[in-house]
Amino acid sequence: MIPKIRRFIRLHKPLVAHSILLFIGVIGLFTALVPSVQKSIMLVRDLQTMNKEIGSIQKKVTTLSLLDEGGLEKSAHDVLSAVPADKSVSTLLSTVEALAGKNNLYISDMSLEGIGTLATGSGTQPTQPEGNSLSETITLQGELIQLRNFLSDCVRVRRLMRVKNMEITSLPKSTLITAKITLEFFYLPFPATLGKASDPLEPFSQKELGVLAKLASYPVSYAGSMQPIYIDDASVTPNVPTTPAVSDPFFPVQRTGAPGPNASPTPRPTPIPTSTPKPTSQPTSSPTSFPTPTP
Amino acid sequence: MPSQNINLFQTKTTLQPFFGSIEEYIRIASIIVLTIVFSGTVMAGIAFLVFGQKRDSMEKEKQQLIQQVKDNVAKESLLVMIRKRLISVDTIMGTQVSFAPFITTTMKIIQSFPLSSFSMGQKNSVSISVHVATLEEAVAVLSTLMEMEQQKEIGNPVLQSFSMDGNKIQIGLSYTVIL
Repeated sequence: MIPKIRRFIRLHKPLVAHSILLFIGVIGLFTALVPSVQKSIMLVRDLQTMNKEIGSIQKKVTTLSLLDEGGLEKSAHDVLSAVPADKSVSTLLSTVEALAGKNNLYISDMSLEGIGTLATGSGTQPTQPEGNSLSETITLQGELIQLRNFLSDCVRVRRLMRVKNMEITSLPKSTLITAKITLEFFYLPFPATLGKASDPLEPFSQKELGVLAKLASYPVSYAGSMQPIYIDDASVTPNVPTTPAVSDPFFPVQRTGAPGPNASPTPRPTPIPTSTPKPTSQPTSSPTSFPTPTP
Repeated sequence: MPSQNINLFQTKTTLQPFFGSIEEYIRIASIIVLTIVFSGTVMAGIAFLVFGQKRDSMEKEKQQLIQQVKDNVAKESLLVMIRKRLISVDTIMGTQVSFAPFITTTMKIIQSFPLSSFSMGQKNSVSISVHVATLEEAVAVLSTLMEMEQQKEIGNPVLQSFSMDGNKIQIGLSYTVIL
């Protein structure tokens, strides 16, 4: 067999040489040229993608540089006062109380539904477009016109609320009515991620600016702007002594009988009232207070 | 004794004509393939080098821009937060219904007579009951109801009940408020 091959090679030297060159060329074609071309094509595609990304980021940088941080902070405050990031029960209660107080309605009953755990709920992802909701049922007493004003104010105030249900009954032998209203309040957790740097970021649209302007026109009915509900209580609060009652707060005080030999002559303060009953101007002994030493 | 025969056969074998004909084709093909491979590899190498440099410069530019975005992350987070919250705010505002018109309509109907009860049903329907002292007052309430229906303030007015107990007359009405 081998002598035959040798003989063939000897006889067809140029043919064999060109065949080997052709073979090397074909191998080179598939092992070097085709991968190189493929890599070049991929590189060109990468460049195109990167070019798009750079354009997008460039646009984003321009958008961000044009934004006014102060204006954004104000808008953030506006939207957060309308829909806070957590349940914020305090703002919910104070909003309702302030609205009722403004319209001279008396809140006779109030209950919250769906509070759930004591956690803020800020981690709960919303399932509805308006966010997570919390219901509050209140019973109001007053005139019909006052109730109408209350309902009118309800939908033009921050934080935002929605009237779910309402029942009105009249009080016997009176022009006053009792209204049981179920209100729905909303909260929305902060977004967890910002997205990629190359994600497009558009400035506010006209519609969004319109919503923001409308929202900013709504008054905030809690915190500083909230009207005190118990005006009498609020007025007497400054009379409550604020100086420390005892010089040594760790001194063991006797609960009954005469004060100890080292007891301070200064009376112990009455706890600051948050609601009725009203405190008297002179601190007196309460069932849990300690005897006041007489001079 | 030496042989007297002469070998007349050809000692060298000649090339077969088939191999002779394909040899030329193989030679041309090998030259073409080798030229393509060589020139193609050189061109691809140049392209790779040029595009690679361009990619590096673009990568650098991209990193600089990303750094600028990172410098403005406070603005971006505020914008994203506001935008997501605005969707919620817009939905809430769109679905907020003021119940004040229902009370206003009821106040118009009952005038100054005491309202006994008020309840709301489906599709803006309202049911009320009102106390009046005389039949004239009851007629006044009903005529107001009809006037409001003609003025398209309410729709579908229905006298649900009418009871008279001594001096007390109680009228049960239902209607739909046209918003």
